[in-house]
Amino acid sequence: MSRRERFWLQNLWLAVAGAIVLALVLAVGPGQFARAVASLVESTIRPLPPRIWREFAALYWVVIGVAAGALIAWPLFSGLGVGFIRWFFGGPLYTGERLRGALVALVVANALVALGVRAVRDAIRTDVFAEMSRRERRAVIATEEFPELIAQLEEVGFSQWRGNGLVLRSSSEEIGWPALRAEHLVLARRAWPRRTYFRTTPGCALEAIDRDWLASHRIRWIVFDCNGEFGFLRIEREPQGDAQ
Amino acid sequence: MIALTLVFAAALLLGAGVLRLSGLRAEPLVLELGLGWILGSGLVGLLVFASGLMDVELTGASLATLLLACGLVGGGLWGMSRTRRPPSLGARPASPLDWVSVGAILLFIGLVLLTIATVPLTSFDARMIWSAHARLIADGAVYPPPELFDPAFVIGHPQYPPLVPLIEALALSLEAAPESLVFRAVPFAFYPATLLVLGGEVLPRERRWGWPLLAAWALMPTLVIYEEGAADAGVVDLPMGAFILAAAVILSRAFERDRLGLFGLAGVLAACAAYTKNEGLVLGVLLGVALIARAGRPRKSAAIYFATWAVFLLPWLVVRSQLAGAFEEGYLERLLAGQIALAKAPAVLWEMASRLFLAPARSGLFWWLVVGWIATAGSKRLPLVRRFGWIIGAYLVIVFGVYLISPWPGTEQVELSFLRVLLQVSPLALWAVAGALTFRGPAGEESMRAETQS
Repeated sequence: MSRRERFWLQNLWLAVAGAIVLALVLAVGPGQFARAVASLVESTIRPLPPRIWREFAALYWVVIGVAAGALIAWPLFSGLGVGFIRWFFGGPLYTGERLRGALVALVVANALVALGVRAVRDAIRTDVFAEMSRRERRAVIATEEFPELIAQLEEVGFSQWRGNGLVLRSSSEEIGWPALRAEHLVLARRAWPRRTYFRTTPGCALEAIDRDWLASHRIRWIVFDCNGEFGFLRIEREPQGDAQ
Repeated sequence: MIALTLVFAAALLLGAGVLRLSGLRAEPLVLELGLGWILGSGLVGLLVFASGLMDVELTGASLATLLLACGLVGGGLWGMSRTRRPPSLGARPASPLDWVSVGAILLFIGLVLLTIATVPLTSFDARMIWSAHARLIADGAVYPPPELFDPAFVIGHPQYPPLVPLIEALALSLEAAPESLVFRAVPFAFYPATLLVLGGEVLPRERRWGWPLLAAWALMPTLVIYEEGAADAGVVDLPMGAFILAAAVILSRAFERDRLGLFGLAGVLAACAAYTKNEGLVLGVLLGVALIARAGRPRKSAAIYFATWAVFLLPWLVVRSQLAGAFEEGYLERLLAGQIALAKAPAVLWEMASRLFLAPARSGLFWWLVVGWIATAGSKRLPLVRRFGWIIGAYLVIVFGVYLISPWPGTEQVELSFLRVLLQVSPLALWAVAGALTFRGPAGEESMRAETQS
């Protein structure tokens, strides 16, 4: 086998990878391919706040690019380059080990970049949370979801309410899937250890619910989640009412 | 924190003791620790579940007694069956790449511990499903809580399996640590356990690439920075994957040593996976089928595996059938009604493939590595059949079918859940492919011949 033949045989996987990329570009068109790559970049950096994600996107692709470039130029390495690879990988890489070495190096490089992203994210969080009590931190996290309802709950002094609660919705309202609205929020963050129940009635009418059911479930407050509007009602305990 | 550590220690002792009792001895210490931790956590959860069914009040006192008994019994079993020193792994980090990998893993574990200690639970699913279940159990001190039978009661997925919430409730009842820390720390405990099992298996097989391979799994970005599925996110995909990995490892040992008791133990671990997440049911069945495929024909081993799996699983299935079914997707009902959205198949397939291979900030390049390792394996039968790797492909096909039945519009459910699905099978994938090529030395050559002949 000539040196040239051995070179191509050893680097067949590179040729195949190149052919796949070329086929992709030809199949979808250079513009679409560029957009796909851009989308890939965006998905890479989404976990970070916008003001710093651009820098990290650049860093990410620089690291991956350098690693990939080094691997593609591998056969051309000589002297110091080969020595470095031998040192870094703990010995020479024979034909069957090149793909494995390339994969492992890329995966670890990728992981290290992800680690950097995590470190920055945690640093930002620590910075944001530094001045807050644990209760306030929870509130900050909760307000990332359903901010409108959270604000209204605060306004009516929800955290001071006692007893179990009911989320009421109109039975004619189409809410689709998933039903992630007031009942989830109330349960997840605000209500515990009070129990929250969910019922639907025609026209969101409270009268349609049996008073015995309300009493047996110790319902003391109601969140109306009707046609996109929230409303709140407290039910005073009756003199002969059940014990809480 | 000390109480939480004691919970983990008692689970570890129980698991290690049962492992030795079942005949798994003279294994590398890291493997014994990892398997013991996973098995012990599962057994503790099952014991709390059984106590609840027997109307035992799940108060701090009763659960502390249970935990103490677990520790004493486990420690006794482990001490009595201690026969000879376990073999060393013989795989110290050698190259700079190895040291980079080890350093990165340790650094990451440190960062995660920092997050667990300082940042409240942020995952929406963790707060809505598993932590809500745990709070309910701890607050009422009964299992199953009566609220779960009430269709008007609001909780995310009342029919979801209870194993991890039961362990969390145990920790809450003992006032082991602040709530948010418990909800993050209990699922996270399965992360070092999985790493130990993978270390005990991968490092001796992969003399050259062992440490970087471990890093490739441990630093997968989904495990590092993904708030809806990471090791510290409070969700249960990683614990479920740990049970499946442990079941597969025990099965492979059962074949090597021809011990029927180990097939039963694998059945218990597969049942624990189903107690952790519904997907565990599917993977448990697939593992049983893989066992039959490897054995060549249905045998006593498969019968023992399935019988143990079913016996342990049945109580949960009975309880689940009585729980209220609010907010469930109802896959089976939709399948029976023929509600299959074939039109979205290409879009779903593309979304799945892109999350597998084109999401370096999520799946990393981990799945490229798995494919590359299989492609360069000397024997494809070894990773795919003898180490059950084919069930990952079968599982992904089933998941694809589920996405077509799903009531979620378009590819929304793929976007929300597929990365977590991949996490569930990633430990098994690494375990299956590692060492498929490199069998060195006289012992290695022996095992290579044995692998290829069968």
